[in-house]
Amino acid sequence: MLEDHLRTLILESLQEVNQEKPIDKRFEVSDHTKLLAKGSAMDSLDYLNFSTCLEERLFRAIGREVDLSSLVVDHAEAFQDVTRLAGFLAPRLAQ
Amino acid sequence: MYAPFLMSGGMGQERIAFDWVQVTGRTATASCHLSDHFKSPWDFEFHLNAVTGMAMISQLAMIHGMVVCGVDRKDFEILMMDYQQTMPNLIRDPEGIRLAMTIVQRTVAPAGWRQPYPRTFFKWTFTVNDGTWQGAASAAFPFGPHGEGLELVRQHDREQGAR
Repeated sequence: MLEDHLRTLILESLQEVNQEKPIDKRFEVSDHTKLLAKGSAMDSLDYLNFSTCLEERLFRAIGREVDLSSLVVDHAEAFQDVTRLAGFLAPRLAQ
Repeated sequence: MYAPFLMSGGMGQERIAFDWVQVTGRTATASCHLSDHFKSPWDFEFHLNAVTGMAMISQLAMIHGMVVCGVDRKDFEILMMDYQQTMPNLIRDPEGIRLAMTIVQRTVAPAGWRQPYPRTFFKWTFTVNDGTWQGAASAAFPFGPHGEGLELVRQHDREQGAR
């Protein structure tokens, strides 16, 4: 799966989470949006909803389930921001 | 004016008792009853209160999450993050109340993100009495998907004097 396509799916997932939030609680969505990093604007429920959205999009894109939870345990650093996550997932999902 | 349910003898009178619980992977089912219950002065018979129903679902959610993560002792705090239930029909029988929950999402946050220990988040859909009520819930458990980090939580709680 191309890294650019993955980045798009991640950004779409973040935007979907944002849409559910009150306007004054929404965060900026870009390639540099922090995910599981210090200074992240996401709270725990945002992160849970983000994971749900992204796994659903990945399933539709590649036709198989991707368990992000099993990846985050050993590769937390890859979940720091959008760009890093896309770069981390791309080779794994290409297999 | 406070509702009688919130006053002494109201909510505090409700006694939930589980008859059995079964966990099969993503699904948890249970039967429970109220060994004692409050009856509204303005209803002619018992009806299950929304708050008591939520307490039943919350209890089953805790059990389900702990079993799935392989944790068998509850000496930590589990936090409900989100809860929604619709109750289009009354539940009139305080006996044999059937609960069913299905995990629709499991997500893990690594140690160091907002908390020093890993956390596992679950999202469920649920029904009460085979769909008479239905809803969704999310909760945060203070350990990894296999109970990782729990000793850190217990140590942290001991240091904070929570026990």
